[in-house]
Amino acid sequence: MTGGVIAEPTLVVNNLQVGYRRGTHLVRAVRNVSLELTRGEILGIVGESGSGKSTLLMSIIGLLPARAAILGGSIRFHDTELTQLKREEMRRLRGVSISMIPQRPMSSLSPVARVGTQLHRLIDRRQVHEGNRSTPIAQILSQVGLRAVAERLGGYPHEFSGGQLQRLLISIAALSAKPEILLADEPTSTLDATIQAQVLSLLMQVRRELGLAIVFVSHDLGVVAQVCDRVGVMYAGELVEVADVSSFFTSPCHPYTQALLNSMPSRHSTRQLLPTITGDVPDLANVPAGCPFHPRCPHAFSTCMDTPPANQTVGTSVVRCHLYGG
Amino acid sequence: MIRYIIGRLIGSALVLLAVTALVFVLVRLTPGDPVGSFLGFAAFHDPRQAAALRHTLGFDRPVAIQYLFFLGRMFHGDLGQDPFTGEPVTKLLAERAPATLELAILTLIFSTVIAVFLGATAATHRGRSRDTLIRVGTIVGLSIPNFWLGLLLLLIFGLYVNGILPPGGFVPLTENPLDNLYHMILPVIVLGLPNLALISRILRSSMLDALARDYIVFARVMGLPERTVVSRIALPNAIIPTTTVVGLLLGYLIGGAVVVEVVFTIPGVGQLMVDSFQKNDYPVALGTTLFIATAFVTMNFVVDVLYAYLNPKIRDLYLGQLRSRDA
Amino acid sequence: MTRPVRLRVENLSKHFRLAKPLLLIGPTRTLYAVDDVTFEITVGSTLALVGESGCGKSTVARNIVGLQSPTRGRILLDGRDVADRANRKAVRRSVQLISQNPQSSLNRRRSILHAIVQPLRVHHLVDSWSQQVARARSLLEQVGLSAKYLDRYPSEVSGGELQRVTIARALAVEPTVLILDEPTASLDLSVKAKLLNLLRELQLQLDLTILWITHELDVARHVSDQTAVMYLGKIIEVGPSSKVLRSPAHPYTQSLLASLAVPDPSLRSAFRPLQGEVPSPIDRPTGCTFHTRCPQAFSICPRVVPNLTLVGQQHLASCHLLVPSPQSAASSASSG
Repeated sequence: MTGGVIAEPTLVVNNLQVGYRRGTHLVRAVRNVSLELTRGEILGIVGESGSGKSTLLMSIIGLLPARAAILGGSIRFHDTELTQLKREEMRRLRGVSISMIPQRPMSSLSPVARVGTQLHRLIDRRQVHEGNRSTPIAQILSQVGLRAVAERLGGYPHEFSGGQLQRLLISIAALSAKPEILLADEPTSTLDATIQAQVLSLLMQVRRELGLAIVFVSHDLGVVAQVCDRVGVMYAGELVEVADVSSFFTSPCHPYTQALLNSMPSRHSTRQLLPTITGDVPDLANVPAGCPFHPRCPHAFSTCMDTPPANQTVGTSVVRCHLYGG
Repeated sequence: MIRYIIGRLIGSALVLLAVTALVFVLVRLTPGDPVGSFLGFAAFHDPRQAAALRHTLGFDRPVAIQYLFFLGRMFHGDLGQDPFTGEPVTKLLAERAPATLELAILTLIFSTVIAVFLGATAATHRGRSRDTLIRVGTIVGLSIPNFWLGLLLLLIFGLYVNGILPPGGFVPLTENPLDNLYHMILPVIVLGLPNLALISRILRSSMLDALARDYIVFARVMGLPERTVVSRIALPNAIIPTTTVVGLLLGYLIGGAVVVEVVFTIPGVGQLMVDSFQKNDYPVALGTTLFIATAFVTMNFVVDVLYAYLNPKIRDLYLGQLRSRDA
Repeated sequence: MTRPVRLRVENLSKHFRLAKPLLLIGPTRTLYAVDDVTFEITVGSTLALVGESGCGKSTVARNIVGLQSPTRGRILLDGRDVADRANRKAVRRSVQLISQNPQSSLNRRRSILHAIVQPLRVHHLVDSWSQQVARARSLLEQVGLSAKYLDRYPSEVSGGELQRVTIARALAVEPTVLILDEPTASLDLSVKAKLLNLLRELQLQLDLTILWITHELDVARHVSDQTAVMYLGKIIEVGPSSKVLRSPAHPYTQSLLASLAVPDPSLRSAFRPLQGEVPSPIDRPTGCTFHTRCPQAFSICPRVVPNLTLVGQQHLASCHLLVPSPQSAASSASSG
């Protein structure tokens, strides 16, 4: 088997701009974001509330709310330009080639219908040609060790625990149609630690077996460290740093990333006051000019206040910061 | 679930009992003297006859005793007799009931079906012209007094535009089904319009709520067509709070039926009731009011059970109910 | 010099009786939310109560604060029984609760000024209106918020700031004990750090005694002197945080730490999820309730409930592995 053939990225986002209407203003939630995702890799996106990370995911899967729109840039899935697709065409891709797992598993299934019925309805259109309806679901579930759950599909969602539902939904989203991209927006934030571990373990298994590319959005740096191959940081709608996971945690480049990592309790001895970032995360409607982080940055200088920084390559990372040139 | 049904059944029975007592007392309290209206002027001229009649009818006894006698007879299926015609009240009710029930059922179906369609359309086209049109239309529908609308329609179709729809009257279902329905068109519209307006608003609101939920997002994420998302996932969820409202509106339906029956000359229980109160015909007044009350309580019971059935969470919640009692 | 004990919880139990499914048939089912919990916190120190959802930690909080009354056991504040009628008013002032979600702890329709002033009025602490406003202002200052916030409404304020408002409100009555139920769980990382610092400063300034309930072990490690770990209503391990959260004795705590997502990618291989689900608190497993998921369970575990035994200085854990009793020794010898 010849090596050395660089795989073409599955997903390429280039200078994406997404905005939404708030009253009379246009709020830009995603500003010039560019990233690449290759087969089998897990890309983490971290950011605090109001960083635009959820909007980014929704743009990729084409489920932006009515008030929002893609203002510019491109999202390329293999040879298809997703931003140019008609609604119906995008819908056909959803759930089949590009899938997403929910943040709150407990409320992601209709409370008034049986789980089995809903699952069939969710994957029916793809399985129709495969004949027997019941086999695929049972197969999928036993494949991931959820046989106990498979036997209780006649029940209603409220009869299952959060962890069971999440594993169920991941299996359905990821395994029923072999998608190439899986998007995850904080999939374990509502789960207990031990259950979260099980769910993450399942995610890794699924990635291994199918070569899925996963975009994993989270505010939990611990989870990101355990699961991701590369990590991106979003601040005020911009992707300010993308690095491979070890560089990210051992030698972060962007001052925001550094400050964020430094404010984690686990990095300091007990009872010590934690270093914090002065000021607050800006409202997306009122992002500072130049570099959005400059008012809070300990290393800011004159250029930062009026000139938006461009992407700079530092080793294997990409940083958007004047400290690194440009 | 059984536990729930039994509980509701007992509750309904108790309510009915209380209603019978209340109605009994209220009818007795209505102004007008039944003996007087029956005997006419004879009551004034011959007090002895009046007193005798009073004794026969049991009016000289305390109200509480009268009530107990009445209850006793009621449980034997005897609701008394119409003093004017001598016919048993039960027979009168049996004759009149079909018309009223038919009116009520047809109106319920009409208003619910159309309301669901309108409400769902308004919700899925929120903010756009269809939505505004429906919302304005429902306000109008809610505001029109039904008797005024009824009289207006009678005027139009009876006087001005002849031959399209009959101006009232009733043809029994058994005689001629088509003609029967033909006569029912106007009454059902008049009776159903306010209901329709209200239900469609409630449904619109529940739909909007359902469409904002996580399970809708997940269904869309999985690529389900919007049609399916709305009708198979959102709608069943939205219907549930609507059933509670429908139950409450049933009361209006009964009350409104009385007015509509009078306006459109439909020989139902409502019309009978109005007549009996005008004549101070106690037994019939009592009988008809009880009939209507029973119908209402029964319909509410059915709606309650339906609600519990439709909402599995409530069903299970009731079973696994947590009661904190210190051990 | 050891300081006196401020709060002592003794054999606290809270049971709920469940309605029978079929009218009167069937055995009575009981939900053991909290089962024989004992711990104490000395003045000015912090005890972290950790565990997963359903372990009973929030129920403990509710019982201490008086929102529920214990089925058994008692709660002593400065040596006085909290259940005693005579002490009630004093207890209400001395113990304050901060909950996870500040949005639902505050009345959305009332201003922040109103929220802070309300406890002052209820307890008749300050008489005139101008004094109340002044006090509210100084309380906000204490939590790092400017007087501008007085006129704002909860919907206009961010999560982290709102949590500070609830803290200011709690401090209005000058409590000696603060119970924090997941105070930072819904907050962003940078906001969390600020809140942790604030609470630390307040504790030092006001000599507060804190019961910190959380499922975030890294936070627990950082803020607490002692840690108690709960599982299905019982405390299965308790001791100095440096021991319990770094070298725990109980298999459950060990699993909990092992499943913790540590923000260090080089430690990935240690990531080992625990199998199974947490059992229902209605149908608890026999013997040691953890035996169904314990990787080291052996023959005696399903049969006998283990007691808390001393495994280090002021460090207790309830596990048969830790007790070299003839029974367990014989069992492990026969199963080994």
